[in-house]
Amino acid sequence: MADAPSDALPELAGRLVQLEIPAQCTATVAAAFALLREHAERVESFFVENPDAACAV
Amino acid sequence: MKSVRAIAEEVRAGRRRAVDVVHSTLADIERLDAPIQAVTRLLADTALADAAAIDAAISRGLDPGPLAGVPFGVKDLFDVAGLPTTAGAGMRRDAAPATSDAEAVRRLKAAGAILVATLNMDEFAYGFATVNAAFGTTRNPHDPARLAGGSSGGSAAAVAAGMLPLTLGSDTNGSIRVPAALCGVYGLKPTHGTLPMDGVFPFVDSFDDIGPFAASAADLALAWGLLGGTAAPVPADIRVARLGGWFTRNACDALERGIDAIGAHFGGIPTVKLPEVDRARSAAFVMTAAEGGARHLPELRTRALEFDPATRDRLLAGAILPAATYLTAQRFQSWFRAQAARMFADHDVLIAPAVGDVAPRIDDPLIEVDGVRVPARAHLGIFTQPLSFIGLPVVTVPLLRPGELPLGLQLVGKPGAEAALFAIAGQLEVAGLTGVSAPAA
Repeated sequence: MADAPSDALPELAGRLVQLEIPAQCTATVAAAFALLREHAERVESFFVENPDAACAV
Repeated sequence: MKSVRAIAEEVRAGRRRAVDVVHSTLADIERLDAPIQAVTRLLADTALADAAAIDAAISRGLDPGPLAGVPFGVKDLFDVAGLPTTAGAGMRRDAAPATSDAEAVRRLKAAGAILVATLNMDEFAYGFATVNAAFGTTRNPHDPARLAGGSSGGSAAAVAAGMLPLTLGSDTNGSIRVPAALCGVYGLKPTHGTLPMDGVFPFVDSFDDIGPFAASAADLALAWGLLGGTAAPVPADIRVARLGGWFTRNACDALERGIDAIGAHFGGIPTVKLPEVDRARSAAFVMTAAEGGARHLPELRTRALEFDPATRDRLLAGAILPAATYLTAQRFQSWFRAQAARMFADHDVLIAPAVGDVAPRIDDPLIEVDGVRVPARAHLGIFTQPLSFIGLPVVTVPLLRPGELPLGLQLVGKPGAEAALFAIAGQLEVAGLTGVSAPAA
C-alpha cells in the first residue's frame, strides 16, 4: 500500500469531520487514501497528456 | 456431481425424486464443506419442503420447470425470505429478515430449482479473497491451503468442490471471475445492467452485476437464460482475438500456453491491444472506493468500529475523495468505452487471462504485479477490473488441467454478446482445451 505523508493526517481527519464521521483518521486510512490518490493521479494525467480526448459522458 | 441439465432431466422424467436430490446434496455439503467453509447457512428444512412440492407437482403430471429439483446456493448478499441479508458483514447478522426472495432467486425457484444454502463472501463484497473476519476464510477445494478468491468465493468453491451444481454470485470488479478462475469453474459476468439486481445488497451501482457459476458452459448458459438473459444473435463466423499488452504482462507461462493452444485451435488468432488499460483499472479503483464510501456513509457515521478494519479503511478513504476526482474517472470511463467499441468492430470475442497465476497461499496472500509483491485481496483483479469498468460481458472458463491447480481465462464480448461467448466456451470445451477438473481426493 502507498505510504501516506504524516502531514496529510490533519487534513484527512478534517474531511472525516466534515462528513460527520467520528472515526479517527489512522495511518491505515491515510495509506488507503494515498493509494487512491495514486490511482486518481494516473487517471488525471491522462487528460493532461491528451487534452483533446473525446469523452461524451 | 451431475450437471444441472442431467439432474433436471431425471427429476422431470420421474426417474429421481427431488427430495432424494436434496438429501444427497445435504449429505455432500456435510461431508465436503468443513475444510472449505463455503456454506454459511444450510437451508435444509425449506429445501426439503420445496423439493417435496416439486415431487408432488410431478406426480400430478405438472412440469415444475427446466431446473426441476436442481439444488443451488447464493452468495450472502441475495435476499432470502425470512433471513437477514448479511452481505458478509458481522454487523448485519441481526439485520431485519428479508421479506421476499431476491428477483434472481425467485426466477430460479420458478424454474424448479431448490435453494439449499447461502455462501460466504468478502465483507460487503469489497475484496478478491473471501477472507472474512466474521464468517471465516473460504478455502480453495483444489488445495485448502490456498485462497478461493472473492468476493464470491463461497459460490465458486461450492461448485468446484462438487457440493452444488449451480450457484449465484455478484461481480463488481471481478468478484465472479476471480474465484471462478482460482477454483476452476465457469462463471458469467453479464453485460452490465441486464440481470435483475432487485433484492441484491449493492456495492457500486456503476459496476455491480449478478451472475451464475456452474461446471459447464451449457449449464452456465441455461442458468443465464432463466435469469432473464437475452443476447444478440451469434455471428455465423465468430472472430476471435487475444488481448495483448497489459493482459500478458503479469500472466504466467501456463496461461500463455493455454491461450496459444486456443489460438491454434482457431487456426491462428490476432493479438490486439486495448489502450490505457492500467488507467482503466485505476479509474475503476477510484469509482469503486468513492461509490462504496458513499453507500456506507450512514454506517461509517454510526457503527464504524463494527466493520472489518480492512474494509473500513478503504471505505473511509473513498468517502473523503473529492467529487472532482470521481467525475474525472467517470469521464475516462466514457473514453475507454469508446476505445473498446472500436475494437469490437473487428472482433467478436477477445481472450485474456482472468487471474495471472494459480491461487495464492492463504498464509502468504501476496501476488507479484510488475515485479512487486502486493496484497492479493486488493490486486487479484488486475485483469478483470478494466473490463467490468465498461460493463462488458465476460464468461470465465477454466483451462483443462487435471491434477494441477486451476487457471482461468476470460472470454470477453461487446455488450449483449453473451450468446457468442457461450458458443466459444462450448467449442473450447468440446475441443478438450477447457473444462472443470475434480479436485484431487
